[in-house]
Amino acid sequence: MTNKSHISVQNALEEKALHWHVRLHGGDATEADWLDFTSWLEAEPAHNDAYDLVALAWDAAEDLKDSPPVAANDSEDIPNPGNNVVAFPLHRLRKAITAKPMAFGGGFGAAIAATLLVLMAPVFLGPNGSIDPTLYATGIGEQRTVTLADGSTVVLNTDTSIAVTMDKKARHVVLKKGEAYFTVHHEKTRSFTVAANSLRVTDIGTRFDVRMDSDRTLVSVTEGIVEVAPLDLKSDTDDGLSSTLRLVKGQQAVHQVDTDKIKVQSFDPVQITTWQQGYLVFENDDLGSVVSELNRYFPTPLTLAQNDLASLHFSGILQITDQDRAVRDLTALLSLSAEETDSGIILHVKDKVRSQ
Amino acid sequence: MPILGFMRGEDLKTTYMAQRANLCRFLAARLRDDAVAEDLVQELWVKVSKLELKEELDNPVSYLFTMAGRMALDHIRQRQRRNRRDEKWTDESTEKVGGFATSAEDDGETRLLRAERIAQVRAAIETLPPKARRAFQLHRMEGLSHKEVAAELGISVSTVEKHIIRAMRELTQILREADP
Repeated sequence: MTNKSHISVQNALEEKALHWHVRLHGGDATEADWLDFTSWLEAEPAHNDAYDLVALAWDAAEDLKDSPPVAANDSEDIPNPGNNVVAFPLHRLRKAITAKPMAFGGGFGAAIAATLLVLMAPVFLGPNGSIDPTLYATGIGEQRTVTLADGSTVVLNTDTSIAVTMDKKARHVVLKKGEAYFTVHHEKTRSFTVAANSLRVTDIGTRFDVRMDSDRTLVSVTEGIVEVAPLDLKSDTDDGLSSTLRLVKGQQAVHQVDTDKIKVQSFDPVQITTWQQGYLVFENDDLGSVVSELNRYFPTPLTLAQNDLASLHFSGILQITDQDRAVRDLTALLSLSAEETDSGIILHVKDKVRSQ
Repeated sequence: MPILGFMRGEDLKTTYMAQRANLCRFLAARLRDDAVAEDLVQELWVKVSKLELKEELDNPVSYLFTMAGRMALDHIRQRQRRNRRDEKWTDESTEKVGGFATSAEDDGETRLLRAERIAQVRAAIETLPPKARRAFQLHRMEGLSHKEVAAELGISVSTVEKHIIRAMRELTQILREADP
């Protein structure tokens, strides 16, 4: 009971503070009004506290001036990070993805579809002396969904190339560089394999992502099961890749190129689906890896002015469709400033001294 | 016309001189700290002297108090952030819980929350009745006075006030729920 009456007293004070605020900001407030208000603030600490909330509310609305307004008929209650919102916490994103998978679709894929490069390979014989592979590639910042002859689809991420060979016995994809997400049309008689670096990934009817970085290869399964094996089965005697690994949904194999060791870990499927929607989600990642991740998508490289900046932590969502926007959001969220130079964009610590 | 601009600036400076003590008292009430209030009223003078006004101010007194209020709010927010950081730091050192947020990360979190708040605030404004929403937008986003909003929408000043209060009530509600 005491609690309840306490709340209603607080509400009454807030209501009073609200009226003061509206009266003072209407345009006609006089010196006397401001002095009366000051006296009211001085009368009780609780008055001033109540006014804090009102002032914050007023200020929060100020922020809307800088962000584009929602269309008048837009009843979407989950903000689309592509248009309206700088960043929002991960749980909201997860909710958004589960609840409305289509809310994030469109736009990106369509925008870059036209820029896909489909390259025909020079004529040479495939591994079985059979059919020439078909090459598909994307440039930096491009993404594209390719439907293969068997009905499987491959989403190529930025700066990626694959070579596809299909014959009566097998379906074979070589990931030459970059990252690709596979949705495999299951066939009983023809296996589907992806070779990446020294790994061979064999699908058993599933969706999975294969990514080649300079130092490692990642295989992430978002649905079904895949098998991961050394490309050259004679390397059976190696410590790391001694046998075939079976990965299920939610598991990720990380193969280090230099040590040839492989590790299986769980991963967040959000990380795989978001790049296909045109943005990246970071959760407590260090700035060094955020920058190298972003640099996959933009031809103008981002660099850090000081090495120790790399250890700053960042949580948030960045767009990979618009570098200016991504840089603006990143710098705003971390209080950095961006300097554009001929060789790229350099991130600095913002001056601690507030401008006068 | 530079001469007019100069005179407008002079007008605001004159008002500042006349209101300096009142502004200081107002800031002290908001901040509960006389020394900081003195600093801020000084900072306000620097701002006023650099200000280039594009149009004549209808109400220079309110203009100055509003500026002072905004500076006070910035200061209060900074203070809260600092306190939160200190609290975390204390927790960490006493309980030796690893992996606590660094100060830079703290800021990131705060800003992230702020971004989320923008989305909430926008949503709240979108759910207002159309007239209240329009009145609030004209007043808050486009800087019209209550009188000007009333003229624009063809309603009375007291109705405008009602709309603005209603909108502000929604917004304070959001902030009250968001704050732990």
